[in-house]
Amino acid sequence: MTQDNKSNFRPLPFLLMIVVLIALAAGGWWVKTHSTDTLNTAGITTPSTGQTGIDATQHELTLYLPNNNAMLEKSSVAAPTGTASDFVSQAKAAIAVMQEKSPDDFPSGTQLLDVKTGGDGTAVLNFNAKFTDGQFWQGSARTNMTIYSIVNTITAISADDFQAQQVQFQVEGKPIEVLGEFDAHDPLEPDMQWVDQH
Amino acid sequence: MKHRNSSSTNRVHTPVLRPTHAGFFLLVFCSLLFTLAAHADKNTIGNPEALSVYGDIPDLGGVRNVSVSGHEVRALPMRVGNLDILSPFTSSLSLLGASATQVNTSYLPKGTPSSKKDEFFQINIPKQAPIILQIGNAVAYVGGRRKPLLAAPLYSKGQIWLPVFSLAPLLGASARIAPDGTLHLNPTVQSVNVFEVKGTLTVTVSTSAPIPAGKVLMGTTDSPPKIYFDFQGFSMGFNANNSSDERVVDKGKDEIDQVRAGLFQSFPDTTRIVLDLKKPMQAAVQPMPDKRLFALLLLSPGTSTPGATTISNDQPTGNGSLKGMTIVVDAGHGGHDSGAPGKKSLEKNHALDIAKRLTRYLRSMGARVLMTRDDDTFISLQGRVAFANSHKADIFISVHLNSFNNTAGGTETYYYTSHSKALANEVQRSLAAASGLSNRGVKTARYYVIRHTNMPAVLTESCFISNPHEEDLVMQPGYRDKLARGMAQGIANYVKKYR
Repeated sequence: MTQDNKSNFRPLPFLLMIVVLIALAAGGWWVKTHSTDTLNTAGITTPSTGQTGIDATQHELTLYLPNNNAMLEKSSVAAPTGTASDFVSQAKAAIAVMQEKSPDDFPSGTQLLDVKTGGDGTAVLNFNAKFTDGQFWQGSARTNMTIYSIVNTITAISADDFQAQQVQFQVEGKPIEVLGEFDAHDPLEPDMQWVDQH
Repeated sequence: MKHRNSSSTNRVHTPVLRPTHAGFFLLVFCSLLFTLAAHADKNTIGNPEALSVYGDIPDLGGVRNVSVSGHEVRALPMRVGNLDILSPFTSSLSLLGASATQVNTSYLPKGTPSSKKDEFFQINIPKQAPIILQIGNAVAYVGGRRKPLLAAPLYSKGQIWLPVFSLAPLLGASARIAPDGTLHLNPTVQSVNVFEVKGTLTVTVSTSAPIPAGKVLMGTTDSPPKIYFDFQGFSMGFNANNSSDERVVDKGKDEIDQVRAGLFQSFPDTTRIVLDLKKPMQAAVQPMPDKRLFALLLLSPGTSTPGATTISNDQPTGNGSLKGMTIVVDAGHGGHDSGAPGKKSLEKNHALDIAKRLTRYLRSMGARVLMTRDDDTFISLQGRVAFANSHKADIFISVHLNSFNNTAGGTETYYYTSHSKALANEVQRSLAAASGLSNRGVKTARYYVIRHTNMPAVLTESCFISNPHEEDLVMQPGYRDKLARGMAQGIANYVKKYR
C-alpha cells in the first residue's frame, strides 16, 4: 500500500497548480493597482484641485491672502485641530494660519494679543507694538494687502456666537491712528475691490 | 489481489496530470505572464523611442515641484526615468489657454473598442485640433496624426497625471527647470508679424494663451529709437525649443528696422519684443477680440487713433486752461520718512522730482501751484492736509510710488471722497497711458491726505519701486517727466470736463 501511494504521487501537477495560483494572485494584484479601466472620465472636467480634504469635524476658515500681483486670493483651509467653534477662537486661528502661510504679509514679530467682540458687529484685534512698524507700511499695495487680508478674513468667519461686520485695529490695547499713510482710526469694513476675480 | 484491484480502480478514476493537462496549465500560465508583460510594458509609461522627437531632455533628477503659469501644482511630481515628469495639472490648463474634457468619440483612433472609451480624454485648444490622450498610452492623437509621448498619462489618486515635457510643445508652452528645482510650464510668445494696413504699419504678436489684462508693459527710447513690449509670464516661443537666446524674429518693414525677441527675465519669465526703429514713432495699442493676439499701430508723432491707448511724447494739451485754479502738489514722504525703498533708490526722492516737474507743467498751463514740500523735509500727514485746506486749494494731488514685491507692477490712482472720483479717473487714464505700464485702475482707500482734505483729492502710485524693471524706468529723468506730464494732462482734462 505504501508502495502504491508513493507511486501515485506526482509533484509536477502540484507545482504547476501552485505556480498558476501565484500567477493568478499576482495578476489580480496588478490589475487592482494598475487598472485604468475603472477611470471615470467625468472626473476630468472637474479635476481635483490637489487640496487635501477637510475633516468634517474641523472648522473651515476662509482666508484672503495676497498673491504676487498685489491682489487678494480667496481660499479655504481647515482650522487647526482643536480650534473651538466660537468666533474669538476662529479669529485667533485664522490670524495664526495667515501668519504661517504668508509671513511676509505681516510686520516682522507681529503677535495677536487679544480679540474682542462688540455689540455693533465690531471685532477688535489687539496686536503687539511690532504691528505698527513704519518700515513695513510702505506703498499702497503693501498697506492694502495686509489690512484687507485681515479685515476680509475676519469678517468671513462663520460662528454661531458672533458675526463680524467690521474690524478695529488696536496696538497694546490702544486705537491705531495710521498704518503708514492709511487712516486706521475707525473700524474697517470688508472691501472686495482687492480680491482677484480671475 | 483485492487490494490490488482496488488500487487499480483508483488509478482509473483519480484525476492525474496527463501531458495534455500539463500543456493546458502551461498555456494558461504563459498567457498570464504574457498579458502581464504586455500590460506592464504599456504602463511602464516611459517611451525612450520618443527622445528622437523631443531632443535632449535636461536632468530631471532635481525637479521638486511643478508650476503652471506661476501657479504651483500642489501634488508632488512623479519622474519617469529621465524621460518626463508627470503632474496632475488638468485644473491649471486654463492658464495655458486649454481645457480637458471627456473625449468626443469621433476623435477616437480607428478600431478603438467602445469598452476602452473611458480610457481616453481630450485637451482642447481654441482654433486647433484637440489633443487626444489615453491613460497608460504614450501616444497622443492630434488631427488624426499619431504623436509619440515621452511618457503616458496616468490616473492615480483620483487625478490625471500629465507628462509635462511631452505636452508642452503640443500646448505651445515652454517647460524649463528653475535653479530651485521648480519645473515651470509657461505660455509662450509665438510669433510676430509686421504688415501695412491702409498706410499704417501694424505689428501683431501672437501668444499661446490669452494675455491677462495688464500683463504687457510698454516702453520707448528715442536714442536709439525703439519701442519695446514686455509680456509678463510668457516664455520665449518662436520654435525656440525652450531656448532663451535673443533673436531677430522679423526683418522689419518701412520705419521698422527689425524686430527682436528675448527672454528679458527668467523665473518668473518675461519675454521682451523690441521694435528697432529708423526714427522715433508713436505706438498705439489696438484692442483685439482674440486675447491671444496683441496688436500695435505705429503712427507718426502727433497722430491719434480712436479706441487705442497711445504712448507718445506730446506735451500736455490745454495751455492756459488751468488759469484761476489753485492746485496743491504733495510730494509724498521726505526727511527721515524715506518712503518705500527700491534696490537702488528711495521713494521720497522720486516723488519730489516728479512733483517738481508736475508743478512746472501745471504752472505752464496757468494754474497757481503750491507744493507741500519742495525739498527733503518731513511734513506730517496732518500738516499736509492743513496746508491744502488753509489755502483753499481747488485740487489736491499727492505723488507716491508703490511697493509690494518684485513682480507686482503698474499704475494706480486712489480717491476717497465721492467728489474726487472724476478727478481720479482722468488722472489715472492719462498717467497710465504715459507710464506705459499695467493700468491697475482707480481705487478707493482711506489714505489720510485724501480723506481729510476738503477739495477733490487724489493720491497717485505711478509705478512700483519694488519692481526692478519699474525702478529702472523711474530712475530715468525722461520717464519721470513722462509721468508728470501724464498727471498734468489728467488734471487739465478733468478741469476741462468738470469745472
